[in-house]
Amino acid sequence: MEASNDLIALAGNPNAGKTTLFNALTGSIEKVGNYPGVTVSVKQGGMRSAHGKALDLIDLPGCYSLEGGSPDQQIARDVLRGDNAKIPKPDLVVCVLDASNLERHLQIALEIIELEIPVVVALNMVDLAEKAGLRLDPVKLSEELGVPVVPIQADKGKGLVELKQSLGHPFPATPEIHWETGDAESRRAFGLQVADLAARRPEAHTSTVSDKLDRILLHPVLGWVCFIGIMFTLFWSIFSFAGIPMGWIESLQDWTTGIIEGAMAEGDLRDLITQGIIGGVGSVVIFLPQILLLFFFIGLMESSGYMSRAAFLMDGFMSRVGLSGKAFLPLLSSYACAIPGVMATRTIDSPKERLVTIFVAPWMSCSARLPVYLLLVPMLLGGSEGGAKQALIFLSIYVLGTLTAFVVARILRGKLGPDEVPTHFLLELPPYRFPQWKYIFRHVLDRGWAFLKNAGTVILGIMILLWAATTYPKLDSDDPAEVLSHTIVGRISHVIEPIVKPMGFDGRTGTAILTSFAAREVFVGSMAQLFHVDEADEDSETRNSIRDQLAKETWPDGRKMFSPAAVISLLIFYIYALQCLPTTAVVARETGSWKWGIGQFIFMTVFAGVASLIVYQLAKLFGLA
Amino acid sequence: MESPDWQAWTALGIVAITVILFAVRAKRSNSSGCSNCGKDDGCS
Amino acid sequence: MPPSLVQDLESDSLLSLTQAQVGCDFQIRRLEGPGCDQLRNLGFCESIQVRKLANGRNLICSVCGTRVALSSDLADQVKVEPTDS
Repeated sequence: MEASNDLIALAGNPNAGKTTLFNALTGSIEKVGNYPGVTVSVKQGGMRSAHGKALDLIDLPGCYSLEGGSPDQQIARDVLRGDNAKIPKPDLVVCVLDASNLERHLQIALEIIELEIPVVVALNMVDLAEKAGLRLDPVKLSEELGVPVVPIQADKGKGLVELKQSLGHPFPATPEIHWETGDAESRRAFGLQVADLAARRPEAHTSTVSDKLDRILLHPVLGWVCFIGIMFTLFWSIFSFAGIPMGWIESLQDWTTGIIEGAMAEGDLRDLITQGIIGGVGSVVIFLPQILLLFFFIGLMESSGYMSRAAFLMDGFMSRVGLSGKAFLPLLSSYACAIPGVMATRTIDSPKERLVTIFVAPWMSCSARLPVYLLLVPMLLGGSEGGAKQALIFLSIYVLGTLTAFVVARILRGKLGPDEVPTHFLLELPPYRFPQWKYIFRHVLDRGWAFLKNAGTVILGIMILLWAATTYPKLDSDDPAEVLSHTIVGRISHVIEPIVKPMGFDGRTGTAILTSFAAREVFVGSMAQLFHVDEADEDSETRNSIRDQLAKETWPDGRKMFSPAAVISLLIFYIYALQCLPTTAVVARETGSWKWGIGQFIFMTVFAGVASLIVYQLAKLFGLA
Repeated sequence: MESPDWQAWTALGIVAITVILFAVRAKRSNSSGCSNCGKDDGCS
Repeated sequence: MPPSLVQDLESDSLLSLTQAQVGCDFQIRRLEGPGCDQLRNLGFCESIQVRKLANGRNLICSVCGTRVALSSDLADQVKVEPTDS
C-alpha cells in the first residue's frame, strides 16, 4: 500500500453491506452474501475520490461493538484503534449502517466517532427501509451526529457519487460528542434517541414476505422437509448433473493425447507429456464441474439468506455434539474444500467450539476426495459406473465421514471443557433477498480459477516429479516390471510394502498414497502412472482403463490385488486421512499454533491407517480378500 | 522407433526446472509464513 | 398463559422472553445476566419493542425490524413487559 494515499476504512455491523459497497467503489469482486460474517479478513483495494484523488480503501469484517467478540471482529477493532501491525490507522472511516435497523447499527458508529477519527455515515439499503415503512431523515441524522450522512443503495450503485464527494478533502472534523465518552449506557441511550428521531418506525407490525417464508422454512416439521430437500438437490446435482461436463473434459483430454501421440515420435518427452502431464493433471481437472456446482449452491444459499435459517435448524442437532448452529456453515463449506471451511469458523464466538470445528472440518468429504471415490467405488460393483448402488455407497461414504467427525467433536468438546465466558446461540436472520447472480457467478469462476491454478502449478509439478521418479534411473530391459522396480519409485515401494501390506496394499499403491499427501486428488493420476495404464484412444474413459488395469493386477501368489477388502480399506483410508498441505497450513494459522495443525495431521493420518488396517483384517476374515 | 536424444534431454530439463521451482517455493513460503495455497480469500 | 397469571407476574415481577407468548409485542424492561453485552449488540436494549415469533430450543423474535434467533438461555435474561396494543 502506498503511504502517500489516504486510507479509508469501511466499518459497521455484520451484514450491513460493507463488501457490496467495497465492490461498488473499487470494482473488485470480493465475496458478498446475505449471512452475517461473510467477510472474515481485511480486504484492500484502490478507488478515486470525486476529484480524481487516489484513495486506498479497506473493507473490515463486520463487528457489533469495539469490545469483545470473535476473532474476525477483533481484526476490525485493532485496525480502527491503530493497533494492527500491518495496517496503519485509517484517515477516515465510512460507517456503513443498515437503514432499516438504525437503533442497533448506530452504536458502532458512535463508538467509532469516540475514537476521534473523521467519520462519514453511509446509510445503506434505504430502499428496503422505506419499503418496510420507515420514515428516514438523513439530514436530521447528520445534524444529531455532527457527521455527513449519505443515503445509498450499494447493490444498485445509487448514491455512490455523493458518497465519493463527501470523501474529498478536507475530511470532516471530528464532531462534538453529546454523550459521556466511554460510558456504554449513555452512548446507547443517545443512539436510541437519535434513531428515534431520524428513522420513525411504523406503529403496526407488518408481516413481510420474509415472515411468510420463514413460517414455512423454519417450521419444526416443514422446515426440515425443505432443508433435507435442498441438501438432497445439492448433492444429487453434484453427482449426476456434473457428469455431462465431466464427459466433455474427458474427451478433450483423450483428443489431445491422440494428437500428441500422432505428432511426436516415441520418446521420453512424449511419455512425460501424455502420461505425466495430460494423464496426471487431467485426472484432477475433470472434477472442476463438481467443485463449481458445490460453490454455486453454497453461494446461492448465502446470498438468498437461507444459510442463517439452515444454521438455525441445525443448531439443535449440532448442540448434541457440543457444537452450535454457527458451525454448520463452516462444515457445509468443508464439503467443497476444507480451507474456506476453516476460514469460515472465524464467525464462531466460542474459542473452544471454533477449535473443535476446525479440528473435524477436514472429515467432511471434500471435493478433492471425489476423484478417488469415483475411481474406487465402481471397482466394488464390477466396474460399472452410475446406478443406485453407486449412489448408495457414495452416500454411506459421506455419512461415515460426517458421523465420525461428530463423534470426535463430541469427545473433544468434552475434553476441552466449558468456555471461560459462556457464549450462547444468537444469530441474525436477515430478510430473504434475490440472489446477486453477478457476484455468485464471479465468485464461482474465481474458485474454479483457483482450482485450475493449483492444478496447473502444484499438481503439475508433482506429476512431473512422479513421472521422473517412475522413469529414472533407467534400465535397459524389456520387462516393464523390472524397469519399474529399478526406478526411484520401485525402490521406495519396496521399502514401504511391508508397512502397507497389512492394510491390503502393495508397494505401488503405497507410493501412490505417499504422493497424494501433498494433495489427495493426485492419487488417481499416480495410480495411472504407477500401474502404467495406456491412455485410452477412443472416447472411452481413462478411469475405466485404470480400473481394468487394476483389476488385472495380482499378488505374486496369484491372488487378486484389488479385492473388495483392499478397495474398501483404501476408501476408508481416503475418508479419514488429512492429505492436504494447504489445509494444515491454514489450520496452523487460524489456531495460531503449528501444534494444532500438525497434531490434527498426525491424528487423522494415524486414525486413517488404523481404521484401514482394522477394516482390511475384518474383511479378510469375512472372506472378501 | 528410436528415441530421439533431444526428447530425453528436454524431459530431464523440465524435471530439473520443476525441482528448482519447488525448492524456491518452499523457501519463499517458509520465510513469509504463507501457505500460498492458491485460495483467494486465504491470506489476510 | 391465562390472563390472570400474566397480570400477577406483571405486578410483582416481569416476564422473561422465554415465558412470553408467541405472536405478541413486548417492551424490554431489563437485561440481566452474563449474556447482556451480546444481546445489546444485536439491538436488545431497554425500552425497545420486541415481538416474539416462535418458541423452541432457540426462539425467534423480531427486534428493531430484524429477525434474530437466540437460545433460550439468552432469552431468559431478557425481561419484558407486554405492551398495551
